Amino acid sequence: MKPSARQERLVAEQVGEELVVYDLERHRVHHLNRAAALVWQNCDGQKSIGELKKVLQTKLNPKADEGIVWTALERLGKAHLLTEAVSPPATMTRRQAFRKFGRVAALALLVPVVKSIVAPDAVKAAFGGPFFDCGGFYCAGVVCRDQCQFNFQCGFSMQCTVMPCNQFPCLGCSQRRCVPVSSPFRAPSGGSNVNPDSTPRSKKA
Amino acid sequence: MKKLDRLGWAAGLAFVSHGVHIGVRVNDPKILEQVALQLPPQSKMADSPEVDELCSLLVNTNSSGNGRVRRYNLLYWGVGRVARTLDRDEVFQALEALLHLVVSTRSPRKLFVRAAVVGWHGRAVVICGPSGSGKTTLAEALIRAGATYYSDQYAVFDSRGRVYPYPNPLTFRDADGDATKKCSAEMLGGRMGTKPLPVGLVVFTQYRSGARWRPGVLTEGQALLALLGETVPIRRRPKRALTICRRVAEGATVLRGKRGEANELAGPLLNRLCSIDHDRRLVLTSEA
Repeated sequence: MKPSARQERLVAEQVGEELVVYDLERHRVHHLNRAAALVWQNCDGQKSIGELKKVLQTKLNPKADEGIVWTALERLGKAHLLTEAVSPPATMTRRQAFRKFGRVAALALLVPVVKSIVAPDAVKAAFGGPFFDCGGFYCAGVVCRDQCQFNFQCGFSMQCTVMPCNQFPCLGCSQRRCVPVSSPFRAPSGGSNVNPDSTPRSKKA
Repeated sequence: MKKLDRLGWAAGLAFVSHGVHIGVRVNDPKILEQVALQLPPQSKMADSPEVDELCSLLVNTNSSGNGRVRRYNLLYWGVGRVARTLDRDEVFQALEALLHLVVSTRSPRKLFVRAAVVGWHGRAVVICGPSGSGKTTLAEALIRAGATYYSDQYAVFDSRGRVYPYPNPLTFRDADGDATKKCSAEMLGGRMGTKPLPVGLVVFTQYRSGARWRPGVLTEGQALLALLGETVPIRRRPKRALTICRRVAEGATVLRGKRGEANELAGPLLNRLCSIDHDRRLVLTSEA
């Protein structure tokens, strides 16, 4: 089992030893404490569970064990921060993992924590849903209408993918459009390969 | 937009607020004065009619009161209809809310976070919380205790994490969330802030009757997450929001907890800010 951290459509910000990650697809923000951040940043698809445990033992606490790793992976998977969700082996239930933590107070402080919130939608908060419903005709059919459906509709080295629309008043809605194909060979660094800060062009009326 | 353009527009105005050029056009010149009252604080009238964002306001001008015909007051943003109401006051309230929203989401250089802000001895106290949590009441108590008023609605951050004034009138709401009273900082015996301030203290709090103030201190990561939960344009510019809020979280002490009466909390909060500054100076002195 060699888990891999998701890199696409994420923006990550290191703050101290913690990490905050914004999911551009789901508009959710995740806070990873030190333990969870270490596991996520080292999920490069090459390291096994045992190797991840060694990373935690070196950088976090020598008493870190596979229970911490599995707990972190489970929580990261639920937050859609891994390329594939993982399940702990039958020999390692969650109750067993937490019992281990409870026995050693120092380990209890090292429980991997992934806390998530939904990114606020300013427009919906101010004016409610009906006018600017992403699934409604106005946003889905006019402002944020899909520009493609399949990759072959895009040019060479381009792919049809879901991107944020960012067109007022449909802020927070998505649309499919052609973007350059991203390289599959980038090593996970805990940061993001995506620069979502596309400043909209100024409109002159 | 062409359909909207073909309607009879009689007058308009253009202004700039926090880097956003906004135009408002109306079908009745007489309401321009009332439109001007809804502009965000520190807006400056623009000379050029070219704008980034255009708002169109159609008000019912049928004074003869034909009972059979209902003429709605309509508010558009671009081509999207924002409000449709028979009540003229409601459409102006919608206009005010919309202008605040557009400035806070579209500003190219500033990041808007929902919060009340006061200044104290060169540092800002940022009070975050959901609508109705008592931010304005706490801001009022701090102003009466001598703090400088910066904002009742948004903390406006620059790229360095300093907070700028956004001095809208303090708006007090009733239990239903409806605005009942507006007043300026001067009416409370306070002063308005003018200069950008670094943030010393961020407080996430909510009023609960009888609660004792026993806040927890958030880690920098927890503080960043909490700030992003109140950041207005986060969906539009998440990377920028993350970077600026991180700078705020790293430079300030962030507290979270339930509070009781605001006037009992004002003094301890300001004292806390002073002790934070004292500790910071000690650290800097020892490092030097």
